[in-house]
Amino acid sequence: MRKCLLSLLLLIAFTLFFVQNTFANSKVHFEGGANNFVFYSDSDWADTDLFGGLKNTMPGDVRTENITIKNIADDYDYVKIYLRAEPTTEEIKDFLAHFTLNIYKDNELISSTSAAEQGSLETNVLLGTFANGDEVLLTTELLAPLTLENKYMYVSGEIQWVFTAEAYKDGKIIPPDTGTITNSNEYSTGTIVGVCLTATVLVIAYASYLFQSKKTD
Amino acid sequence: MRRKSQTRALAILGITLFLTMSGSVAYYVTSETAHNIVSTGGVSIKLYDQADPEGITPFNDLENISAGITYSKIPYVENISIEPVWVRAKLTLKKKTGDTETIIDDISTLMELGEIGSSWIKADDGFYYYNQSLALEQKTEPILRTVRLKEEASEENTTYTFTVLTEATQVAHNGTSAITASWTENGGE
Repeated sequence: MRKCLLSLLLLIAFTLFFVQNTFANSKVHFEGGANNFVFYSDSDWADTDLFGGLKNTMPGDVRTENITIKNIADDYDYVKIYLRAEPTTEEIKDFLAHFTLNIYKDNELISSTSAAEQGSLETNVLLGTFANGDEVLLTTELLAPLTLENKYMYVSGEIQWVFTAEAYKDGKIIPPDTGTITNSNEYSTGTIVGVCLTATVLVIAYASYLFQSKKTD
Repeated sequence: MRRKSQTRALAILGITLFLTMSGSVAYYVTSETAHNIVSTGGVSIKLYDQADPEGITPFNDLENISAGITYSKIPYVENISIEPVWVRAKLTLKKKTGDTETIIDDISTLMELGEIGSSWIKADDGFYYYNQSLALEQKTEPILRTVRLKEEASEENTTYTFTVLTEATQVAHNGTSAITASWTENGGE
């Protein structure tokens, strides 16, 4: 009986190990606060590399990588998360141009283009409106042609993805205004500051007006 | 007059309050960049010589071969890439007379090749194809064990060099054997 239990435990441990390794995922969590986006990468190359499964690609390969996008911030009513791709540099364009990159959001194709091009990710694509705990699954599929030449052996190229979050509270929806964001982890307070400044100017104007009205009376 | 200015003042206050409240709605935008890497693998092999008395060393060409002498030469291939590979080899004899160097197309006309490995299959293109794939760090059986230049090859001012050319190509999406695989580019060393 004890032997049987031990065997069962070993089997479960083996199965868990196998499952974990077969379905290795990258994760992007929106945590809000000071952390904002946190990447949980399955890549050995870099902590911010979400393409752990797209390494050592060989001609004819079709490689996939699953990336879970999840909102775990509880400071907001909801968060809108967008994704866009940055243009690739000229040096690696020649290499990446040989690959096709398909991106699925919960099994729905949202982008299909050469890996060297931004395609439909040239501008922000809304991945969804996330309440706390909501998530979507992005699946990236990389297709390498059988005709890939020897000169592309052991070559690598970077594809930059920019995740942008708009966090809302009190139900007020403000249109996307992500064009001014250039640095990671930078709060876009420009809109709020602008409104506050306008309000301050108006308060001063109002006070002056009252003062003048009193003087006139 | 007083009433009019009060109305105006209230209107301005209203606008001010509205705008101030709009600005106080909690809202921010943040972004983060992922630096995703796509990389390719490749195939790499090494050719060794088991005959070296010093141990297993990289294969060196057999130069200045004298006719009629049997030389021990035991070349074999190791896959040093993560990718499984198909392997093929070409046994070559270079003949140099003065400054002129020629490559003998059919080596067997001038050389006796001893103990060709049973896993090496000779094809019409002159290559020997290894009949199984090699995983990382797997080795082939030796291609052959001895070479001997035939007496009739002996000529004045002529030297011979025996060499082995090996190539590798990927197993994935590439045929069911080394012979049926595509060898469109030189994939090995």
